[in-house]
Amino acid sequence: MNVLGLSFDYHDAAAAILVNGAIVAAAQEERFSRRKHDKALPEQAIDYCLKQAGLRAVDLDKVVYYEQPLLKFDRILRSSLRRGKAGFAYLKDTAAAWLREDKFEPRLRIAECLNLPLERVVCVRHHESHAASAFYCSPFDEATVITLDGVGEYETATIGVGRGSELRTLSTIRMPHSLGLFYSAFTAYLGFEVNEGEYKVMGMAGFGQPDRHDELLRLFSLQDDGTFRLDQRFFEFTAPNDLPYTPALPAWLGPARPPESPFATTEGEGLDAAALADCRRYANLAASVQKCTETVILHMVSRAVERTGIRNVCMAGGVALNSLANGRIIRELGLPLYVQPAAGDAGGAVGAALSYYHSASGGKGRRPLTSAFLGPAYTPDEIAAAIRDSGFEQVECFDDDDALIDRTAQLLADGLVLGWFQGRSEWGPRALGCRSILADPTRPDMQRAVNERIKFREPFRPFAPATPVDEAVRFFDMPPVGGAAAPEYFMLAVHPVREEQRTAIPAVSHADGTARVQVVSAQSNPLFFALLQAFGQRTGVPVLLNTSFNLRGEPVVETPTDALKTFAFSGIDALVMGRSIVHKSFTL
Amino acid sequence: MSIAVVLPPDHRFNLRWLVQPLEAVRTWLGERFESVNFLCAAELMDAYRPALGTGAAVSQLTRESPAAFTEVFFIILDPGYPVGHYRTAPEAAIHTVDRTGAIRPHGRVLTEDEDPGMNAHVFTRLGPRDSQHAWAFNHFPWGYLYRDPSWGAVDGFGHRITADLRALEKRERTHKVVACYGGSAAWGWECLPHQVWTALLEERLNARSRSVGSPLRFTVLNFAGPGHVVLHQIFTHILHAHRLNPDVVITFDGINDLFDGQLCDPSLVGPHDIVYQEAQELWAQILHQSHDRARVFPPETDGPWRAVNQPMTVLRAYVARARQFRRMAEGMGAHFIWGVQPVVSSKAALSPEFEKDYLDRHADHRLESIHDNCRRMLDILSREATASDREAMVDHHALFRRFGAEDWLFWDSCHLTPEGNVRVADFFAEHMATRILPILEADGFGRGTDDQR
Repeated sequence: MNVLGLSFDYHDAAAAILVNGAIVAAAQEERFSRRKHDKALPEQAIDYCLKQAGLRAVDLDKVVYYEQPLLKFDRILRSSLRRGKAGFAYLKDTAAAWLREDKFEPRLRIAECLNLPLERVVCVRHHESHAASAFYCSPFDEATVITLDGVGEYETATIGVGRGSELRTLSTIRMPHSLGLFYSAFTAYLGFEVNEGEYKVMGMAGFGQPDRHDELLRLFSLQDDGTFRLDQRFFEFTAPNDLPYTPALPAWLGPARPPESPFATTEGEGLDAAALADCRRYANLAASVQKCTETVILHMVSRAVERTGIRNVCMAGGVALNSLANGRIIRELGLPLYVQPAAGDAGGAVGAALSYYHSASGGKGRRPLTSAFLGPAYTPDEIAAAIRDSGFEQVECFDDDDALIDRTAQLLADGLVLGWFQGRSEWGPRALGCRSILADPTRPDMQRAVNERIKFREPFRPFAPATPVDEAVRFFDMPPVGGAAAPEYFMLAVHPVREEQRTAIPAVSHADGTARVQVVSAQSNPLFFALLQAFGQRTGVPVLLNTSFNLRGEPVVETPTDALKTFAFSGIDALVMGRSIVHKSFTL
Repeated sequence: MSIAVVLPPDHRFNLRWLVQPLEAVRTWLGERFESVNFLCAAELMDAYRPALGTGAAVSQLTRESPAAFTEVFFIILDPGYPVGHYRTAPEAAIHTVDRTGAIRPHGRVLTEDEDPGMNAHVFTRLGPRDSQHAWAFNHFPWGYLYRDPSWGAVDGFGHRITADLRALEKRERTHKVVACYGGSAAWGWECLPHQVWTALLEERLNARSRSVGSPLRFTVLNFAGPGHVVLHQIFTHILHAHRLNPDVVITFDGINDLFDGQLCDPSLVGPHDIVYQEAQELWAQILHQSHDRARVFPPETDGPWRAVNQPMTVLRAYVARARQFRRMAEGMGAHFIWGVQPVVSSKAALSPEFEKDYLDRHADHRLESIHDNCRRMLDILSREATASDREAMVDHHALFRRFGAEDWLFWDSCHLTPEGNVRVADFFAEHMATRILPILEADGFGRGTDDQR
């Protein structure tokens, strides 16, 4: 059975294809269109998925859209009408946008795009897609399944149980009680873009103290069944105008942080005393919001596990990308955790396809998703052609991987920052050693250098360490990694850096002494594993700084040409692509 | 003859937006501007007063009131302005004036009075005449012509030159000619003749001569053409400066080469450093009826435009052609200045009320990536230019970094406001004062006339 799953129309459009239950390919449209968070019908991602699977559109048994738009509009309609005049204005704008963008019936657009009969296109519900993506990709036969995001049709979160091919919902939390929107509201308050800047809030949190945690937590009524309700006095989720919070929020917590304003928490970084005090206030608030979110998630997870009696936990939805919370679930609750690598709405494409497949097939052939390398790969000829057209003149070519790894490890040990482009691109927001920028984490100045010189982003943003799986506990305060699908393989859990190792890897130790760890095994990514080992042999530290291969505001690079362009425009010193190393050498 | 200026009936904008359209009308009318009647919605009269001055004759704008005048200028700050809503006299000359001061005939073709160069030669005579295309690309055997008299007179080649070139050929040895080349930003797109950097540079050079007692005097000629890449500049120099032998050649360019270079045929850009406007491919299709064959870049695409050439290739092509022009100009005995043009993102910050607001509302977001690439290539050029290049270079892209949110220097992504032109003129004048004028002055008053060379 061939099933294509699609998510689009809001943000992070994506396509995924299943062949007899196996995920053969999955990709976000933004990688091809080069438009960050591209929400358009993902035609290029579809083309790629079909090509990778060796199929034509006509070979598809079903195409599954990841949510029910009419139910979603019903929720918008009802909640707007309840809001009176403000609600009418919001409804008018929303309805106009839906009509303009033809969002009421995505099935028609899909059928037309693929030239398929309409009955071959179906929709599943938003949180069903999330739950399916979490459970059916997990290695567990049974699991407690939790979904958490901003909002789907009506639901913002669900608690359920997965067994074999069956997924059953036990509880739902409905709008406006949304942990995802709570986090987004503070993302906006802290001067970042919603659906883009949530990671920045997490990064900023590391610089602060959660001094308002208790006050924020009082906004939540945590229920015994794991659900919660959220005090709405400070938020505007149902009919937001420009901002998802009301004037009551800044009246309570002080003025919101202006976007793009400088951020520092220590003296000597060019800020006067008043600005510094503001920055510390924002950092403390970020820390409080983050800790409050973790408290709510841990409450939800622990109560859900109590209810189901199943310790295996699967999570999806944008909130499941909160790697600080995931780390605490692993360390403090001691629960086996699976988080789908594209846990946000893009992952709905995988979930939609899996949901349909398992209901139609009775659950034949469940296959855990242990690799996020589901995107396109490029041939040596394609790479060579791109390099030839790039204008860069100094290129080293290697006949075998050993020589390539040896040279690359030496360049890293010499302090060069490298672009690393190998094999199939990653599914999900994290670069896991196929479209990465790599650097030596033992150099104290490397974090600032990569932020400012390479990625042109805020200097406070942290970087992740990648390390061989059997070395992880030497550097990080974490339990041994549990299986090939553990969150640490997908860079989805934050753990403390061991106190005695913080000076050894300063560039990946965040201000609060934590790191978003990625572990690598010889099976998960052989070439990257070999590089980590080779770097370790040279430096005694088998850890590399690993960040996504992109510039600020751009999607991660997809093609060799994208990589060369980003290489040209950034301060990356050399680009390792296939078995070639391109040096930043040219004459104008 | 009675003249009216109809002020915008909507007042949701900063009054500074009115300065340029009013300056354009003043320039167009000359002394006749004193007799202008301003027509203004009754409720806006007080709001507009500061922009018009106390002595201005202002009367109420009604649907009928423009009909009393024989010449009417409608100031239009936003597209979609309903000029047709107002009644005008049947024989009246109606003009629209946009935010940049472009004055265009409304609902009629340009007259020869308005554009004396329209019949200057066979290729203008055979060019477009209708009101939509009167300012447009004209076919020309050597490149193309772009003639647009909206911001003031242009000659038969579209140049903003009023000087007699033949007379300049036999100039005095102390009379120095500066020939300037580039694309629309150099031409002075969206600025009036006296606001363009070339005119301002001429003022500065002559003012300096007066103040230091130098016998040198300068004529600065603007040979720029909207859309020109460096290859067009070279052609223009060959066509028009061959007898003139300018003493100084200035280019003010970069964006057209870097923008177009991303979209041109890779088999021309990389191997041959040949860059062209991608629309030229459409011309080939029209001329040869070859629409069944693909162009390199289909601009009809709805999505974001993506470069087909890699940045270093594009940058190298630009630099190679810029150096070629330099060698050519210096070979003809001129001093050469390579002005690298700035873009709005060259500034440390955009002015929120003018630059950012305009770009947010009107920029073609499909082009964002291409524009971003241009800025990044300029960054690389600023960083990697050779010592030899730097001797001749005035890097406005780098110099504009000193300007911020309080400076309104751009109309859009790359076209300069009058204030932006002032900055460019200042930087060029400074470069000339330190590097070139001492040589010209020490060189026995420079070169002599044609006969003496």
